[in-house]
Amino acid sequence: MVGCEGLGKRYGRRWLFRHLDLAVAPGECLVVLGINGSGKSTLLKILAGVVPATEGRCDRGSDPRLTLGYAALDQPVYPVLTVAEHLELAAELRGCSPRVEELLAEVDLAYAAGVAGRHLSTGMRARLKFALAVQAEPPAILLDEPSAGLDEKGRHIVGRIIESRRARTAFVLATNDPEERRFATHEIALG
Amino acid sequence: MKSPWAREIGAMVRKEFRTELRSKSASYTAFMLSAITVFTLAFAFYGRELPPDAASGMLWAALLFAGVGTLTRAFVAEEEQGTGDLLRMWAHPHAVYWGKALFAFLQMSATAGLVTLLFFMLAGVGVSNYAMLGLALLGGSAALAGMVTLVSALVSRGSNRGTLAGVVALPLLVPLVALGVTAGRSAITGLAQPAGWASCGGVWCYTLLVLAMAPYQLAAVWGEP
Repeated sequence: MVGCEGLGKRYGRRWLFRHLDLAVAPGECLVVLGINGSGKSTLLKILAGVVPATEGRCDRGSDPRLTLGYAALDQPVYPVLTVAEHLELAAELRGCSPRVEELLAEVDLAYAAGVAGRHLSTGMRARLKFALAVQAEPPAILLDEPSAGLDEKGRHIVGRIIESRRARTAFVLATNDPEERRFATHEIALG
Repeated sequence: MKSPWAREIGAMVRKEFRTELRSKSASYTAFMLSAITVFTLAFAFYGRELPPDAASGMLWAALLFAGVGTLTRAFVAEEEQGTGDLLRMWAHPHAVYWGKALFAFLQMSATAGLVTLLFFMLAGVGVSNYAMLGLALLGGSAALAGMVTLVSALVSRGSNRGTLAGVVALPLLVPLVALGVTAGRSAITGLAQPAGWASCGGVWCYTLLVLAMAPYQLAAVWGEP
């Protein structure tokens, strides 16, 4: 379960959104729509706990390290750590199994296990971030523009990740891609 | 079986080691700045006896320079490359602090050890009380590591971080340097030993205070959004 109550975010005098109440349960997929700058990514960052809200509160579960997965297009990775080292580090810090081979096979990145973050293409970085987001099999996963910058195969992987987990996981997707609306059980539009 | 704390802190230290081994930027900067301080003073006093006050002050100046690399690396580097959010999502703030501070301590102790050796080779200064000097430098390295890690976190989300780091760190480090220089002077000359030991104790009290408080301050300013 992931959600928020009375959530609001203001930059300067401009409110991106206000009085937002959400509750997404396992089996549901909330798609957040909106034009560029409407606050879709900011909303997901607030839900993920990496950006502070101006008002309101979020429910991220008892231990967000294990109860929440997050992958965003603009999230950098460590330039000198390899793909496998990212998964090992995240697992040790979260206290879950690294599942390096299994996860890299799932996102079709096994061939790049020893490649450093700075040498990854946009699509490879996106796949690594998907693997990191699902590593602990959290009950809630936040995906910001999951298919942006991905080729056909990458888009297929995104679809597979969502479809294979949707019965037991709450998904929140921020997107401008009409194709990704097919995952939605609910939609909201910001802006 | 490792406790969750040991596992998380160990993971952070390994990550810092890997990053440093592959980039080497902070170690080189810290060692070069410290070594230049030693060389400059050794040349300035070439053929003359270095006053004990200057010798002790110079050792601490070298130690402070060793801290500069950590100051710019620890949390500032995470924010600059945008990876701070990964740590916020994956790790407990206390584990992040202890991992980074422990790595900074190891790095600074190694630099301080090398620079101290270099200093005594070049300056030809004798030491009357090795135990006092060693304890003061060890405590000083731990306190500096703890403090610069905290300051790095405090300024990491601000603009103009370099200037801000200096402004925040200076008043916090003045008491430590004053105590350390006094202990160092006493250790080198062998004079005023009670005052030297009192200063050495002061260095360790400062260290314990920093290490006890800093993780909580870090959690308040860096970890939670």
